[in-house]
Amino acid sequence: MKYTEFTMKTIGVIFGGRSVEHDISIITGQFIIAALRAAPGFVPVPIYIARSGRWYSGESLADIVTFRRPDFEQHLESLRRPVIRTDGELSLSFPGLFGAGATRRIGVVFPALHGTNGEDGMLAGILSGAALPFVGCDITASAIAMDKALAKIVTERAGIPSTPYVFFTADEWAAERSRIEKEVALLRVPLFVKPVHLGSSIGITRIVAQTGLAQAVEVALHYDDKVIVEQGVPNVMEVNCAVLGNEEVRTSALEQPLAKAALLSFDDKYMRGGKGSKGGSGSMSGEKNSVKIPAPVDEKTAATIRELAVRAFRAIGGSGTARFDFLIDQESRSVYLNEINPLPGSLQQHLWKASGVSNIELVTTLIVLAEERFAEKNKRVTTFASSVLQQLG
Amino acid sequence: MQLFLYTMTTTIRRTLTRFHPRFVSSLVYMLQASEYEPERYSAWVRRTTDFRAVQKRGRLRYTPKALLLHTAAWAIVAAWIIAVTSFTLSLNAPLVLRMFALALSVAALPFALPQVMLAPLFLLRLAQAPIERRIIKKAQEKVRRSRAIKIAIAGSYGKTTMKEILRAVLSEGRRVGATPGNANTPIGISRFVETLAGDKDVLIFEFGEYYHGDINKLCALVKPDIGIITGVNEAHLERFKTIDRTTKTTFELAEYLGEKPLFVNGESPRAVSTAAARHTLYSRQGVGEWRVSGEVTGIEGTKFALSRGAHKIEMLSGLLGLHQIGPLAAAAALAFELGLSVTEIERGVRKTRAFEHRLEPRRDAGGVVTIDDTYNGNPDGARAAIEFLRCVDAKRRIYVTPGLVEMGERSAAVHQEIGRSLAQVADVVVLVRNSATPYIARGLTAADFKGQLLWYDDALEMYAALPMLTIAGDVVLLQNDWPDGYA
Repeated sequence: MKYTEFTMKTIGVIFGGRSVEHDISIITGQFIIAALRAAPGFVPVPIYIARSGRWYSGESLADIVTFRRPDFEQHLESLRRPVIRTDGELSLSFPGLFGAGATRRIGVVFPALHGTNGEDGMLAGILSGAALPFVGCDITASAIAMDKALAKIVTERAGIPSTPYVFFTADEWAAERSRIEKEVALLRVPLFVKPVHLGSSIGITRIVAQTGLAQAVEVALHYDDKVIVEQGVPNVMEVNCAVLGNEEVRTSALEQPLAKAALLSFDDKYMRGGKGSKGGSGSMSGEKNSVKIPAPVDEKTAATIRELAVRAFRAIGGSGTARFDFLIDQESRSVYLNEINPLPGSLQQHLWKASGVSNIELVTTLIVLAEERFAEKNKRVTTFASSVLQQLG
Repeated sequence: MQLFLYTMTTTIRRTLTRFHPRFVSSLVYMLQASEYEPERYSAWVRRTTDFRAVQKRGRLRYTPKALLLHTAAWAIVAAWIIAVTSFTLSLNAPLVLRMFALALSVAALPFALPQVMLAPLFLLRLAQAPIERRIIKKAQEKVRRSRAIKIAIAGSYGKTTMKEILRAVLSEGRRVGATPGNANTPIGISRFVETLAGDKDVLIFEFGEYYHGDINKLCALVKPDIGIITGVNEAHLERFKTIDRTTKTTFELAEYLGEKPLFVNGESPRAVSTAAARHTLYSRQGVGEWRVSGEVTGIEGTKFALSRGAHKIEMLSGLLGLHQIGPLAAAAALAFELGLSVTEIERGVRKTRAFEHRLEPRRDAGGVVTIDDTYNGNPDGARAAIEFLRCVDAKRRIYVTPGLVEMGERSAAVHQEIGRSLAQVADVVVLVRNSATPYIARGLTAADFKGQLLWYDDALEMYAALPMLTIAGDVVLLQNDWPDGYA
């Protein structure tokens, strides 16, 4: 530890998690740590959630190499276990001299979890409960964004177009299969069958005829207990837009992900261009090869997409950042909101970089936004003097 | 209190690094990285507090010499321990006292070892001297018999660039041999001569000068027909002590050549004031009777025309910066005198590319251009690089440096000057905390710098941070890279 660290802000970066996107989260976490190290005035503290759900912390977790160690599991056991207290402290115990443990207080938490048990609002819930300032969307916004059906319902109410869909639970599929099939038959093929909660294209099937439905639903139900069937967009082009802010929201440049198939598989999205294997500093290159920035859309469409992204961010009550994925019918120029990512992989840093926001500016802005929201929330009244108890005879 | 404890523990921890087994190899590494020069090595040892941090950038390479010294070092350690153990055990005193004396004398070793290490080095030199003398003598004979035209390049900076430009241009019409890498000492040059088969038309020698008389020795060895002095400045001042002595040593080449042709960099004030009327000056205006016109430079390269009477050479080079016009023009003029055609010269010049780590541009997938000038650590080079940064199109201009080394007493002035010239050019200045960079910061403040100033504790931390602070359209200039041994 350097002496100057006494005056610096300690940021707990939480990554890993019980999710199929565990490894992607490690990459995002490492990226955030590297960016914070480069920024003046911050000490990032890595907090890793193992697949088992256990939390660990230690300097070695700030290096991607640690995760490739053959004795990784044993190594974890030698690390400290962070303790969350419910009065606004996330503290890490240190085995100190003479048995007197020292603690290190975390000022702001920077979640880097993707997918289930994290990005879906779970971590936001834990951190809100502990009264800690944290980066990114709160419980409600995360939960809505990570449930594709809920996201459609909420954004439709805000007048944001999305493609026709049908959603149902595993129980409903078992009990009312013919009703569901009838509803699905009203949609125009191709259809996309997706688990509602997962990102990263896992468990998604594209079907071109109703006959493929049953099998596709089985696949989706393997990952989730709720499934959504969406109508595809003809002449489709995918365009993503990220946003940054709380009340005042700025939008990034637009990017077009370049996938060969009409559907991005997990490997396409994360393994091509060496993103998965590159690691370390958050895959600086590589992923650039599979996107086009700016996306080849006319100015009017670009403005529409930006406007819709901001409106959708407000509709779900988002804060900090999120990425909105749109589908464009290149013939009719119609724009549909497809997906919301409350915590995009590596914070979509390459897109921000192309938009004039450096990695340092990105992470430090997010921390400032987290502190602002926290201060705002603390102004609200949460106690109310009531005489209810006295009145109980 | 916290600060006191911190300072205390740090001091103790640093002292203990002398007792780490790697301390021995670190000392050998320090000798190797100082090119086995006792003075540089000793200065480095005096500066060092944390010996664990010594082999940070590089590592000891096990050359035969290094291996021998490393073995000798461990032999000294073993001999010392055996000697003091047997001596203290033989003493007629209480056991506790003897053990105490033993511990004390063993503990003293790491503090004496850095100086003791010079003894095997001295012995090694004594043994090597006659062998090296023989190699040099043989090389001298071989060069004397050779019919090739011999070109010698001397100066405080820009020698390698000049050598590579000449090699590229002359290779279009002649068979050219040139000293490899930084082989520029009598023994280095002799080893190069050993490899020659005698089929070359032109031989290009880079002359290194560290001490007074070095150039004289090299002239006696090579007997050059043509000379080039690329400039004189404060580089290596820590070894030369005064700039006058640097100038004098460099111009030993002029003395040797007498009436034979000598090209002198007209953009180096020290060189110009020492040059005689019979010498040919070269600069961005021209060389001898050749005139420069239509000069443009950018990330892609440098373009200009060189004309004399009816002759016109279209110069198109991959080298960056207007300061390259002088050396390019000199090489073209020299090639013309040696009988190469205009077409051959133009073709040769087109083949010149930025050299590795010398104003070498690189564009990454994220749209950031990095200009790698990490091998350039002298004030004139830095000035040229900053001037080039001013010329390029960029969203933001970012200047990154750990400062320059070997500036001696001039360090403060040189670095303040860098700061002042940067103030109106750079949008972001990134510095490594050390003895030199605060002067750059002072220069920036003095010249009313409006941009962003960022500090990092060491160079590796800084290089890791760079991708984190750039955006698409940025141009990043990496100026100089400190080897281990300077802090």
